[in-house]
Amino acid sequence: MSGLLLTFSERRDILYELLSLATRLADENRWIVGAVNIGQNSADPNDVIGRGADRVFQLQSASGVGDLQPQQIGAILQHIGESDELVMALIGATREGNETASRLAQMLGVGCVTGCLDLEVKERKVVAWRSLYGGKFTEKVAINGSPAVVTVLPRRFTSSPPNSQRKGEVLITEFKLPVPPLKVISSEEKTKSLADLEGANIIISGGRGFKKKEDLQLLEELAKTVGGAVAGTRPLTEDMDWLPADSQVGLSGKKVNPKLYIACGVSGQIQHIIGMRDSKVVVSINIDENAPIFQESDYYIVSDLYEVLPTLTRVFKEALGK
Amino acid sequence: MLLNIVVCVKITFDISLIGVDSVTRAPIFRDVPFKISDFDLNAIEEAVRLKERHGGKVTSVSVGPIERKDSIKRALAMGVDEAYFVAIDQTANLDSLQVAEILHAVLRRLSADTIICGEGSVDEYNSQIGPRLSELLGIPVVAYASKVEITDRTVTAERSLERIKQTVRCNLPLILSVGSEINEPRFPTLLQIMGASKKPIKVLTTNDLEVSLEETPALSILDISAPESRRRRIRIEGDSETAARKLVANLVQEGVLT
Repeated sequence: MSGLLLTFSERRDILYELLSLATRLADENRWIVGAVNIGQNSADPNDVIGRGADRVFQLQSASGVGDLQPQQIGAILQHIGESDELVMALIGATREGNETASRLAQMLGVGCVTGCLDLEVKERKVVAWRSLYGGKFTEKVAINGSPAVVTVLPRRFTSSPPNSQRKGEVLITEFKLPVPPLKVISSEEKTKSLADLEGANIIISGGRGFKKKEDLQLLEELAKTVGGAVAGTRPLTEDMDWLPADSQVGLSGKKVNPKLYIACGVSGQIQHIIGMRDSKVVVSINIDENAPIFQESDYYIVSDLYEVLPTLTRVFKEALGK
Repeated sequence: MLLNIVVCVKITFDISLIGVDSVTRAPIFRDVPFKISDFDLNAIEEAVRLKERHGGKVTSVSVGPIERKDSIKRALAMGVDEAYFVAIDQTANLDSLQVAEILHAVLRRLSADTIICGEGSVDEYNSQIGPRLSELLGIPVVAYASKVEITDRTVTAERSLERIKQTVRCNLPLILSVGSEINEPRFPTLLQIMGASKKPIKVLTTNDLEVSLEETPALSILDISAPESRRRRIRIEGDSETAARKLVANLVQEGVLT
């Protein structure tokens, strides 16, 4: 065996998803799967082995390993990669992960593909798929240099169940962490939505068709009736702050795949579509007859959501015997 | 305290107008106009606001095929003082590594203390330029900044990461990457648009900058095609009551309500 495929995410759930992809690629190419298990959310190294890592890299640091900044993580990855033949770095495509990957790629003087949907290795060449032009197109891109540095979108791969029989080794890396470039004054968890969008069966989402924050009550009532989760487009979650940031569906938010997705007052910007197009059935309600969301819908109603939503909620209640 | 601000501006296709070939599913760029990438408008706006608050100068730097040059006039109308445009071969599909190298060569000459770019471009959304420039220049980047204050060369910025909101601090020089939540880009007045035509756009080539790009790019595009939407697009008609009943009946039948 030769060649090290290194995985990292500051989120444990994403690290496990990466390990499932990594073991597939490593099996095909006789590579070794490494996992960098550092930072606040690091796991029990045996669990990481159980999910597919052959080598788990931990960090021994006098100062303790707390909340690491992307620059520091990039430096650690580069350092680990130096001792083996690094062929690929697979990193979770979160905001932090994309920064870490870009930095690592720049340190190594190689290209980087962020937000990959899928990967394959053909004749030692890494090929990646990613969305382009706001998700309207999919690009297939070959990575010419080595190592290949990529970030992979969350929820594209299912993590393997833990296997306590799996064998692997834990390596403690000694590394003097670079001074963090930014001084963190305060840090708080974003307001969390109560619903787990990525696991939801039904999602009711709102867009700019809502005129004020209080009106989102209409969405919530419908969601409560059908047992669904509430989501929103970027203007509502980031710009207006009407909904928690983690309920954003779209290019810079969550990619969801519920059985039923009801888009209310959502125009259907491609940046939003990319987050919801894996839904099984899509319904949309919009007052604009030419709203692009209709092209991405199985059923659509051209009407004012302020009129339709209360009626729809009532009819759902009757149908579901509530 | 005068600021020397550089804003990195990408000129892209207006992606909403890119067509799809019905047979090959390939993109059709014919007659698609160019524009400044969305988040780069936020970057320009923030740069101009910082200049208005602290004094100084805003320079924009762009890299792209020469026919996209005129789109930068909007940045000049918004308050950018001077624009640099690095013209590259129209057929060259530069990857982020190459673009960062070119931008770095320009930035070295401008000795900026505040560099602002969008968190990602509307066409490719690679989100790599800020962090790559940070490595190349050896200065910090505050990625995804949503609020910025500068006092005596110390920058305090709020930013929004995956699951946390942070306030961070560092000294100039630094790089900021911004998205739509930081501000609302201004619409220039007619007078400002006319005034912009007098502002300089300096065209450079990679030769001028003494940048030699690698023979083999780091990435090669093998294919670009539009996934086909399999949606049924059934319009439900009637008044609210009728439409709601029809819709619910359909959804019950589909078995998606449990």
